[in-house]
Amino acid sequence: MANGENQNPNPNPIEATPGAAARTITLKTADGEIFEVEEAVAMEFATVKSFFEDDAVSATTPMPLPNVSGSALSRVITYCRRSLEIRSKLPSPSPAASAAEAVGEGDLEAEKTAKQERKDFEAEFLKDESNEDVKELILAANYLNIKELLDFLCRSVAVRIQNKSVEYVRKFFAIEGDYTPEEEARMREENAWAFEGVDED
Amino acid sequence: MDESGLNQSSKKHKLNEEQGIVDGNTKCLENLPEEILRYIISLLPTNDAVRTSILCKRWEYLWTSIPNLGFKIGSKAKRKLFMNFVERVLLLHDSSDIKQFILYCDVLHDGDASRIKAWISSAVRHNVQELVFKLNISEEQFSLPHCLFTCVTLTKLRFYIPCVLKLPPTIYFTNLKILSVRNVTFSDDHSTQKLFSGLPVLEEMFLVDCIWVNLTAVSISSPKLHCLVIIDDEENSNDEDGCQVMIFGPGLKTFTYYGPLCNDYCLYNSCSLERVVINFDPRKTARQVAYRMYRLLSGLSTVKKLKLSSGAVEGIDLSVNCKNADAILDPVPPCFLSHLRCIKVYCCAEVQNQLLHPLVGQVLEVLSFRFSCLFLNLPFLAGRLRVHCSGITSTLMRPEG
Repeated sequence: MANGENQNPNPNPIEATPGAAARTITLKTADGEIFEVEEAVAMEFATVKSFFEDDAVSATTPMPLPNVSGSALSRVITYCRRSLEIRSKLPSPSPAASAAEAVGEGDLEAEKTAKQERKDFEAEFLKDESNEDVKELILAANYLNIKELLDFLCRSVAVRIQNKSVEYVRKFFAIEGDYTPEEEARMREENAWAFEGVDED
Repeated sequence: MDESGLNQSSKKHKLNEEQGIVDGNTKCLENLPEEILRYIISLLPTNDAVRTSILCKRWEYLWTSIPNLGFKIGSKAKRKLFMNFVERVLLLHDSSDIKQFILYCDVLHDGDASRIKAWISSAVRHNVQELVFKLNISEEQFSLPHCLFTCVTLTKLRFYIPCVLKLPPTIYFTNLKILSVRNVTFSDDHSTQKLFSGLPVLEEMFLVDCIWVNLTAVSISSPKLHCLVIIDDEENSNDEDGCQVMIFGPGLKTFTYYGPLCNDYCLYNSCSLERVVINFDPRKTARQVAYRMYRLLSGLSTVKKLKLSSGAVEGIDLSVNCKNADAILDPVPPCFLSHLRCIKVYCCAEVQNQLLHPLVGQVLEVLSFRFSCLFLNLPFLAGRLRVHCSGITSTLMRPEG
């Protein structure tokens, strides 16, 4: 891939030059799986993007992802593909018009539809995923540095640990409590109000 | 994601970084960068966020940068725990901004009042943007800290304070866009006027169940105000003259009024007004009230959509009758002659017949004054109307234009 292409400031890869759709990037996961990913999707991963921005790296080099499993990557790709699709339905803001003028009635409508579509898709996306899967995804999203997905996963994690006991949350984050029993008892007392109405495990 | 959140976390990942290479520990979220952990905590309700301090030592103070703080007292028995908790959270919160501060609690004595004021001041010092209070006050009057009334960062302020609210001498909300005042007894003309005059960029105002008895005349005149909602409680209406409320709303688009018209509300200069809802229940129908109704309608010069309750219809009728014997709105309020495209009347099933008959008579008069469309959501009347106003409109539900 030409490096000039990579430095293109256009943040929306969907609008990249014709022929870009054909380009793929090869990613190799921790468990040795090889993924051929459309460039537009792969460029959503900030980590991958900056890897290929390095002049020394040829576009044909498979990029190793030592922190991401094949199963996680395939989910991440599914998310990013859909996310790009939804985003492409949004009207692209024209740089000529001022921000206020650019938002017409139709644009607002499109924005609303896209927002709802994203909401529905996200609600479905993690419906059957276990806590373990969500955790694996959040680590992958963090490693690949995909802001949108990471934000969505953080929100999902918050929902999953809300109103749960300290023990449950410790288990979720794989945290070992390192307070002495006395310290912990004191802290519980100091924050007694925060322990009102917590769910049973 | 919004402007806060993970922005600061987008540090570049380098492949050669020796971070968390896959081993048995892949799924250990402890490996996540601290800013992501903080972000997750910030998405939790305040109680949950503070509870994370008990997970382990690393997490002890992670919650202290949460931007949204919400405290709502549940059972009164746990009051002391609640008060101590709020205080503790505010004391431990780090120097980062508090975006939103919500407080629902009872104010039982002076000691409480001064504590609560200190909390509010603390939020103001943390550049608070949105404040919501529901304070059940047992005293006759209450004041909020003075610094609140000149808070530069505040964009939304909503409060329920059911007593006389004492206001400070200086009020200027540089950035306040939304103000909602509930159950407050306004103390006097002068200070209330200061409040209404210190809102240079206000866009939405809600005055709900407030008590106006101490006031004789005030004006509301925020240039950017586009939505005004006033709800008056029947019980709070005084039989006396009421307050004269002058509303100068050059940018006002919607105006909603619910209540017995215990005050004289008048709109001036409302040349952008498009939608008006008047839900008026004249249990004590009086000449005075009818006159107020007429005055209110007279201020609606550019309204396109008018939604009236059956009571308001009755109010029009009364205002007409007491205006002159010919039962014509005279002079006809300007919107009836120019902009009004849609009148919506909603009625209780039992009274609609009696109430609408005079209206229909009335509206027909007005129809002949260039209504382009009349919309009554009552099919049994529709037939009747068509007969009477054929030639003006053949369909009773026709959109503008």
